[in-house]
Amino acid sequence: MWFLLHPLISPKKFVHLTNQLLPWAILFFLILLIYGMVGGLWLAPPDEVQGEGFRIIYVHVPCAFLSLFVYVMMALAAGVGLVFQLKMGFLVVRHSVSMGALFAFLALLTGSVWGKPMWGAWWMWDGRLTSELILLFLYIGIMLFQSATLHKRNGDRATAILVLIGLVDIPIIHYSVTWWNTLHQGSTLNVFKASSMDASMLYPLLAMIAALMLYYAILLSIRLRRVLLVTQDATI
Amino acid sequence: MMQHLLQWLRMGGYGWYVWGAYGSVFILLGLQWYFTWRSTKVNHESHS
Repeated sequence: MWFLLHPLISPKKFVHLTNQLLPWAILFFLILLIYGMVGGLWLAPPDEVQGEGFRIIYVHVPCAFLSLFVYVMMALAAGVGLVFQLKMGFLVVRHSVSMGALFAFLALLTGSVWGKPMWGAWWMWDGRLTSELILLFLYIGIMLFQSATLHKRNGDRATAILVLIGLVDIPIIHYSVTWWNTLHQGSTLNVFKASSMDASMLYPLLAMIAALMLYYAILLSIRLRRVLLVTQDATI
Repeated sequence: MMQHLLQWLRMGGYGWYVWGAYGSVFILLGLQWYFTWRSTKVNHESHS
């Protein structure tokens, strides 16, 4: 485990690794994005009930998924930072927060735009929407907390603890559609069950999710490289 | 051809919603990418 993590934790090795991987990651990101867009907007047939309006799913679900994924990554990094006293863990938290906040905001915005023609309302105080809004407030709170802490080392540790406490919202968001009687539809994707979506609709959705995961990984790498190059003076 | 394109852009009457959602996602994610890239440039210049 330590052997696998070492290239990601050592600043110089991280910079060297990202030098090699970033061009490929950007290439795969563009391929997946183009396939997801063409598949979602053009090739996938209209939904039987929602018609062409269902195509918002190809931006809404990936943004919502990433808002949860980024938070889980932040919690893992916070845990690693606290347990092993690793600066890289705290750096991942520091540079992920704004991306997670944007994904949560976009999930709410696209959900609202989708909700208006389908439900007849821009917003409903139901379990899924409210718990996702709480996630957005959590991200904003963490950002404010980071900027308010004067002592960087203590601030990083306190932020990591805050991130771990906020982790409780993630299962609430995920299971909100099963726990409560909600207007929001059930989970679109489930790793334990075969999807009810047709392959022509499903594959572009998976491609868009993978593209946004790569987007997050690319931007996080660029931000971490910048910090490491400036503060550690690691050579390219 | 033009009529097919317009029909596709209308998205069966959901055009404003669909393009509004896609537009907002791509504009905001694009801006985030641009500012991340720009800050790297600025830092590289100040570093060198």
